[in-house]
Amino acid sequence: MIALFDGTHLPKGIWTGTGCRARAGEALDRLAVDRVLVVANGSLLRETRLLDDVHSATGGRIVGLVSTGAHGATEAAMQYATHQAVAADAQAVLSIGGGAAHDIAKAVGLMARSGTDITPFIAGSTATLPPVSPLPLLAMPSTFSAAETVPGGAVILASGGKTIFGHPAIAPQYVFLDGEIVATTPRATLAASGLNAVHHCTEALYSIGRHPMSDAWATFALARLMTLLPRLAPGAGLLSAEDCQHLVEASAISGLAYGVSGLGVGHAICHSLAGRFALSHGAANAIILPHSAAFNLTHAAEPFVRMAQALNIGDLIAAIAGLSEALGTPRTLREAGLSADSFDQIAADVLADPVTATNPRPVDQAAVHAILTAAW
Amino acid sequence: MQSTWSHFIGGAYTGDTAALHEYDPRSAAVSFAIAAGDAATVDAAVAHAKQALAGWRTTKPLARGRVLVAVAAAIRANAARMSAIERAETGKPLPVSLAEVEVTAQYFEFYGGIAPLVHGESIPLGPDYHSYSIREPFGVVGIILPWNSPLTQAARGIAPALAAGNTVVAKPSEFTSVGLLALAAIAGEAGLPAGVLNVVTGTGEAVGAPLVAHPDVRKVAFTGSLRAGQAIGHIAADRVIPLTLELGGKSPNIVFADADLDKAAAGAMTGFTLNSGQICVAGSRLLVEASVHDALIEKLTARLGAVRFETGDGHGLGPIITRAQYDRVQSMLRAAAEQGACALTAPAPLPDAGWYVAPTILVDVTPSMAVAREEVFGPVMTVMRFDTEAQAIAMANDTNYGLVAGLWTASLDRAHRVAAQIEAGQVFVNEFPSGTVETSFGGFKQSGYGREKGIEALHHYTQSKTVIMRIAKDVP
Repeated sequence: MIALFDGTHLPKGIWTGTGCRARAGEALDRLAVDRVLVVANGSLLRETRLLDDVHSATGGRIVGLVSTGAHGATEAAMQYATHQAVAADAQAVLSIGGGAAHDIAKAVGLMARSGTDITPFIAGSTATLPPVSPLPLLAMPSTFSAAETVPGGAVILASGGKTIFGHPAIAPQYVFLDGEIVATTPRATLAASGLNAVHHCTEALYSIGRHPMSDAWATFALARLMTLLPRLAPGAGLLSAEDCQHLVEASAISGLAYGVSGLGVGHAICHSLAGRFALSHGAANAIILPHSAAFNLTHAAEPFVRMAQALNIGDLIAAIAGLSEALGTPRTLREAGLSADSFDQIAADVLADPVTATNPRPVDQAAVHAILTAAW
Repeated sequence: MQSTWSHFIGGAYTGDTAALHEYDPRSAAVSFAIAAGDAATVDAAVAHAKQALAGWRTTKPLARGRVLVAVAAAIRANAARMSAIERAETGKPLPVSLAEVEVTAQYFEFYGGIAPLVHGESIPLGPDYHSYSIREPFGVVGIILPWNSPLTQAARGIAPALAAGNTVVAKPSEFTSVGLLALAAIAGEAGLPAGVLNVVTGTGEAVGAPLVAHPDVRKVAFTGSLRAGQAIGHIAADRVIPLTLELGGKSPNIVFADADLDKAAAGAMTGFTLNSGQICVAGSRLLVEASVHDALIEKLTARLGAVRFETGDGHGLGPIITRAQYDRVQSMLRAAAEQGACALTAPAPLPDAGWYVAPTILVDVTPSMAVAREEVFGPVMTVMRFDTEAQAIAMANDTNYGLVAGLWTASLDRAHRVAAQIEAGQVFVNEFPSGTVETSFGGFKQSGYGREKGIEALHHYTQSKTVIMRIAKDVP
């Protein structure tokens, strides 16, 4: 089978190492950028001195500052951040935080340069993407969302629901994987987002869009995540700086993998859960991950065998369920507060979600109901 | 600068031990030490004020006014020193503190000038009667003050109270007492008789409460928080004494599509960042007509990008004045983020030390969020959009407060139509904030009652007496 590995969307540079955020100025120099807008997780800004670090690293080139709220990457937040980018004449956007901050930065990059709202960039909404050279992005993740390495993001629409937008040129050009930033994030948030990274790996490995390159990345990342994530369990002691560093590298690599392969029905369900029912993307993934894998097992036998071999375990799904239990993340949709009469709405969202298209097992309404029932 | 201060009672500093510390919010270091008064200190101050009352209230109004005008001149002559003191206890940028010293002088000047104009009326009852009313002072007045603009707020109460012939015992905030302590001595040197203005420092519990409860205090003016105002209101109700309450606000600033957007953006910015948002009249709720919303946000965010903090050169924003208020602003911002608000924040680096908060515009805010309903008293503004004038008025009035409101429009009809429907004590059109010492000021709803500033404040420091005399017809 012939498959193209198209690397045009990949980041140009990925700094790794604790304290590497101090190199942000070098990335701006490479891009010849004097004016940068910062989009950051609000609590990160308030609870840490990270902004001071970035001020000194960028040598006073910050011209605007947007912080995200708990509702994440809302359409309104994207619009306001874009107003600020335009008003400040920003030449680049630096995002610091979890997935929402990076997704808002991507939307700003597109909207500030194209002069339109996010609609034309929503997957499937237009036949061809408008020609646009987005503002270059720099990203510093504080969680394991992997949003810093992929050329798309999720937007929570003002009209309700969450959908995917993207553009090949919108993956951050320079990424800073700095374990010290990750170490500022609450452990429970990290645990849930770590399971999201695992979910990236499993869906990348069984996606019909997979490629040997994505397989290699996903296999490496999955092995590292399964080894290190148990250290995030409650009572597992202090997480070392080295562990944070290794985990954020693994999650970024999980993003490189699925940026190539695409995802599957599991993520489509999580988009609906987060967009309509206010679950965090991390918590939604923590619940759905074992069930999307179980659903696809019969249609992806070979990938599952390879995953089990790579991890040297017999039952991958049991291992994932065990990890989720050990981490104390939400286990069921019921405990997460979902109402059982929402299944039809979720199924409709999933069938319209572009990430469903690369799922190995065909998905229909009954299939979504079955997964949700299993996760109930 | 003198670092320890005691109460000012009966025309002199008492020399009491300085037991409370004030902090310079620019560095969080101790700036001054002040005395911790108690009920006995209040007794002494009220006794001096009562003793001075007979002489002061019978001084001819023109002569009382002349003294107040002299106080104004003395304040201006001491502007540099007053400003330095105020900066050390509030961290205000130099131009702001100098402007406040000037306004402090203007209060004494204005009320000195109109002191002889506290006129009564004659009431026609026909040829058999002669009836007239006169306005008399209450006697000893208690004035309890906040920390956000310590000098102007002190003068706002003290000058009209004295002009009307009252004597005063003032309690400044324990965070910002020294400016008023200095002013009291300056006023004495300018000719204000001993005992007419007394200053007792200390906490609200130890000094404020006994002052309101003191049997010889016949009127109280309070500026501060809603909760403290309610507590004082209970004491005043038990004692049946009149009270003026100025309790803050959550003031709307309404921008209509026909407004000059550059001016509106400038006014909105000043409205929530002046004194780092620590003004009761802050325009903390920006309501924008949907069709100009995006354009206004761009202009506002451009201004956010130009914000600087003062670092000794006199330009830029100052800190939050107290540590407790700094913590409160931070916790309200945190709660807003947890409830889903997205924040646009001035990107300027914060100074290394001190209680600085970057000006923040909260967007994506719903009316039910605490930050959209409660006074933040920091450089924080929420933005909401409206489609119709009726909607704008409903949103503007959807608050328990009613201190001021701003509206921006090119239409005279709209300006007057909307102003008439706004529930607030002052409405500013095409400027924010606005108003001067001459303009009557005070709240609707939970922003308080009574009025300060303007001629009306004089009436709040007087009580009227009507004399009705029968004229006999028979000629002896």
